Amino acid sequence: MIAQLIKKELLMVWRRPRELVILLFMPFVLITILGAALGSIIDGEAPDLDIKLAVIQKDDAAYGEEKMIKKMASLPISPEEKAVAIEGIKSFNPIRILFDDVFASEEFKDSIQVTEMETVPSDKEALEYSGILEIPAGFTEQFYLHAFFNEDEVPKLNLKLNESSTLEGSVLNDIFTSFQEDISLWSALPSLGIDPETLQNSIISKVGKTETVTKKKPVNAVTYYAIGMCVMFMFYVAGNSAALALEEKENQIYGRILLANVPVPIFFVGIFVSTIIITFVQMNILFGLSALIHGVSWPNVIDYFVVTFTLCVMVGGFAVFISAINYRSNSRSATQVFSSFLIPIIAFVGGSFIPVSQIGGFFEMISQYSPGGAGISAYYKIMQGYSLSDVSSQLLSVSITTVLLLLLSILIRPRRGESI
Amino acid sequence: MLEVVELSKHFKNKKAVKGVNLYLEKGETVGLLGPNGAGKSTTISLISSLVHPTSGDVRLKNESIIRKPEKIRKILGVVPQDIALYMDLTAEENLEFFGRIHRIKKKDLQRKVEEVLDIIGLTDRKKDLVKTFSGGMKRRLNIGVALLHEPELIIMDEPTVGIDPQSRNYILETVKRLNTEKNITVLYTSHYMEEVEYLCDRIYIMDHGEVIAAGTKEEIKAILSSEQSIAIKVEILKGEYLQLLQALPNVKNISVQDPAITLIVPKKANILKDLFKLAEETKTNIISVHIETPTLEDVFLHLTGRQLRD
Repeated sequence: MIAQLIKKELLMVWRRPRELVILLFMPFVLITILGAALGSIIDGEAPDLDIKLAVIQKDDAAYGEEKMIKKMASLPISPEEKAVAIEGIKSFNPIRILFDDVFASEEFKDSIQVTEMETVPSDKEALEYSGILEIPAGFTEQFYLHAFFNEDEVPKLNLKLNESSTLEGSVLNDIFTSFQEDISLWSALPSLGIDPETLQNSIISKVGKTETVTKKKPVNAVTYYAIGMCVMFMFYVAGNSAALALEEKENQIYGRILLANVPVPIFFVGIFVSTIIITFVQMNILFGLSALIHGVSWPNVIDYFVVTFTLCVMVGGFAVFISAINYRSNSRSATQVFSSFLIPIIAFVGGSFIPVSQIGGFFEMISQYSPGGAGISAYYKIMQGYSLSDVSSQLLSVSITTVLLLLLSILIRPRRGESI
Repeated sequence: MLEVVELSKHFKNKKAVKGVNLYLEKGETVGLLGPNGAGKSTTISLISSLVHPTSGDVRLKNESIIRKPEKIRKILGVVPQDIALYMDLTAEENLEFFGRIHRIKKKDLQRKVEEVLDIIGLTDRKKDLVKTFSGGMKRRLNIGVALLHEPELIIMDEPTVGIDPQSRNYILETVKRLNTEKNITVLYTSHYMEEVEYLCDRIYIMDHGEVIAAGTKEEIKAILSSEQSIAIKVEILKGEYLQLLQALPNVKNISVQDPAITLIVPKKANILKDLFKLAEETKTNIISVHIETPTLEDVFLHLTGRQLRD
């Protein structure tokens, strides 16, 4: 009898193109779109930038450096001290650092295109640039005076941003804010008796030696969104099953089924099992397509099946729970609230749209144990190569949710002889 | 065969069924008549054991089915008012599904499905999805599902609503055949008086949750045996004429289906003279006047004050 109830559900879903579009086509399209659009954020890659920077060079850096070397040489200090100080001046020319170590760095050389100018461009010309940097006259000299002789103020670069290029402007602003802070720091170091070059090299060597904490397989954006979208859209199966069940009640089919002496619990077991099967098939189709088209592959297929099955059972629990509310309240409002309101929340909290680890804190903790978050987290870890025992807390959380949903369904289910 | 004793069902603010008594003998067709909201569908749900009564009893072969609904369900086929079918399944798949949940053995199922398809005349459309069917075909399949497990008693809740006359005739003939050839007992509710007159041996008339009249067609009509029905057809119906007719002392009931007026008056009363006089006074042109023995429709109107389809 349960087999008939299940067969009927499967046929109904199979023959409703709208449902198939929601359950299969939409998540796959979203995986592709989100993976491509937000891939750089997840993968930690810099987005493709085309920054055009106009530099109006009013400062003569070579002259400023030479002038300071002469000044240093005329000071009544020992030859050794003079040599160290002159070496410091030569190695710490801020304008040379800006051009050679920043603009020409691996990080920015492809994204920043520098055009040197002698005069300020017209308003029309200025629109072609993401920003205009003015290096004021005497900048280098002022920097050395402050750094080595404790005279004058820390010099400042003038940057004007093109408001229409938001992303590029924002990146430029970050670069120069950071550079200006560095200048202030460097200019203070000699007076503190610290060799700036030593400090810079020390910092660079540390950054260069940064290691990835985990040795597990990294997960790229398409894989992340394949997991996120699959977990989100599996909940729509529950909404869909509950809607179909309510249709059966509204059309008096449920009454007809009861008249065939089918016990109420058996009818709900039919909803539960068929939802599990439909969700399981849905997940395997979606992950199968993701593997074929986007190369999303699982390091351990058995672990994948265990996680998938556990999640499918939870979705079955949701389907029964929503159906029980619908049947008891005689309305489809529970389905509507679930599909239009709760699923997006479950998906957002779970991290279907953005990785919650990027938000962190309390939100991340809640997410880990939310129905969607536990699922995403379990899949994510399995994808990284962790074992089932590493995702036991997530699986436990999912199983507890399932049991609670089923217990609540038993409490609110329609009773025999109640109004149909 | 089936006896309903003082059956009542109260919902939160409404008494839907109030102390209904009725019975069905084996092999008879009984009509349950009543306007919308009379309590017919609730009564059917109570009899078929889908809803528990607030009080009263339903007895099948002298055994109460309130606590043991399985008994009646085995021998009962219900044709709900709605099309209780899966639109995305074929006719055959629907029949197979309901057959299986009725625990019809697999080896018998195919034969029974074919038999039912033949009875309802849908053999050539058995592989088509129900959503592609006309209203009449859906209604026929709706009946077919109730016949699969070969019930002794079949309850039909307005099975011909919203279909074309041809399909309606087919359904009526099918019900008649089931009753006469297979000796199936039928409880039939309808809005159409002529259906009930054609099919039913006995009739119950319900209004406001109560049975207000019961008996054979002749017994029901006898309620108005001392009365006659006068149908007047006018060119243009004037409110003033209607008011004056209502004020006549012998008029027991009046109904209007513009441009016709039907009056129920005592046979002995001679009011024809008054009809014409009032028409002349109000300048109403009478096209025709028919004097008839009261129909079931007239009895219904007399008892409930409403047309059956109100």
